[in-house]
Amino acid sequence: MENRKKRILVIDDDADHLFIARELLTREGYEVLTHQSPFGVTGLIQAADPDLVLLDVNMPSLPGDDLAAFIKADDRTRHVPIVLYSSTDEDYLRSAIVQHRLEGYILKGDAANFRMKVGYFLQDHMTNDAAYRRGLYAVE
Amino acid sequence: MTNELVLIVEDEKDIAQLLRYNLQKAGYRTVVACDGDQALSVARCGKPDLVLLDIMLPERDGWEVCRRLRASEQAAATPIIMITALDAEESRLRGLQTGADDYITKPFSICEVLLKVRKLLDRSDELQTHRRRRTEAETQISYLVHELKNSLSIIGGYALLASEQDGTCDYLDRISTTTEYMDQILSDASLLVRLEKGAPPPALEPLTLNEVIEDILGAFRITAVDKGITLHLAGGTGCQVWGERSAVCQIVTNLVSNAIKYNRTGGTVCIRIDEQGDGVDLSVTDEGPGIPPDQQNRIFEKYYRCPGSEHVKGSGIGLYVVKLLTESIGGTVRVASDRAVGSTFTISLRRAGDAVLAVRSPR
Repeated sequence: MENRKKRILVIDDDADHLFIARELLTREGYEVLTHQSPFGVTGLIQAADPDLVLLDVNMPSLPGDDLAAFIKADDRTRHVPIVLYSSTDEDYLRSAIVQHRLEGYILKGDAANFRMKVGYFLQDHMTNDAAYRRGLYAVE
Repeated sequence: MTNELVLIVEDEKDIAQLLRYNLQKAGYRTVVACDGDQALSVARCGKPDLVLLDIMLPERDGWEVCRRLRASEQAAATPIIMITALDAEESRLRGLQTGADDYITKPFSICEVLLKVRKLLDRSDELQTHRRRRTEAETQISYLVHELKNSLSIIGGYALLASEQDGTCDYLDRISTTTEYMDQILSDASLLVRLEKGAPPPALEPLTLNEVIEDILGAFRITAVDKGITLHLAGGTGCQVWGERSAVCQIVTNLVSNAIKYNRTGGTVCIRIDEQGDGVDLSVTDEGPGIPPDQQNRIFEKYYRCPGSEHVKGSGIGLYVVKLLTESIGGTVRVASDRAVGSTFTISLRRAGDAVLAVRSPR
């Protein structure tokens, strides 16, 4: 378990985004799984048990924030951290992560800092308090 | 065209009948409600295009019905004409204050009623068309912004991958830098569209300023190191202000980003929190070339850029956004600058007491 690579599941309906994310993260030493559809994700999460899910938002057949709500509503999948990965308006992403109690969001378009941000969400020592301060959690 | 629905709220049957007959003759559809509750439920389900509202009603009076219609989602913008027997100024003013668009006093001439109804319906029609066009334009802009940003992130992503594979070609880094800049402009532009839409001011919440700032500085460390610039945060530990998180984040981001961009190589950016009685001053100081006195009151203007700043990429939106956002959370912004020392931008916000850590820790 100690030496197991961190496993990241990336969901996006765009093949280019999936390719870039896979390449960037693989070079960083992560194990990367990609899936080019919002469908079949809950099954995939149960089968692969990823350490993090990166989820595109703007998917016409099922928007990522709705999909995230499904994942968080299911006892078998809700423990997996979900980070929205999108070019959508930041205010929208912020309210989506608060509403569905997701771990956070990363804006597409900042390729240089993408891996640093992913690494940040994979840190074990990120406390709830730090997450709250970054606006990543809703407080009851 | 004239198939609009007029809701007549009138408890006197004869008057209701008279209005109904004449409105129908003029080509309107009508529905009559004889008390306030009925009026509200008809307005909810029937979505009338205009409401003729008598003031003297049993139980709920016309003023209250008017207030409730205005507060409802369906009738917030529906034209309302008050009908009053009291030909007193006070009564008319109260109607207009509660949100009525016009009034008619009893006894009224049918001609006047029909004219006022027509006039208000025409105007509301124009307004609705205008509003619809604006919404369509905004939707279009946000769609375009999203698609462009998506494509840019693909270009930037491939450029980064390629540059990592072959570090000898610095053209790729230039592509990356340019796509990041374009992405930033698109973000600024869509933020601007949102701010200028005249959205209601955000709800204020107490924010622990130094924590918000520390988080933002984290994201700036890489850029700062690249330029050999040191970031300092001083003072105000635990001090809370009234603000709104995303607005304050954006304000600090824009100011710090400017302070890095316009700094001298190897310079310092100093962020200070100073408690001033009921207020808190947040200042960002750089060691850049300074801003000439005659430019200082212009730099918050939209698209304005100082002569001589051409060598630094920028769209002239950042400080304008800072000003709009600061004012939207009830603060003020000012600048002081000395050509020999640098510039200091100061945001004054209202103080919200000190952080109580026990309350802030979430489960």
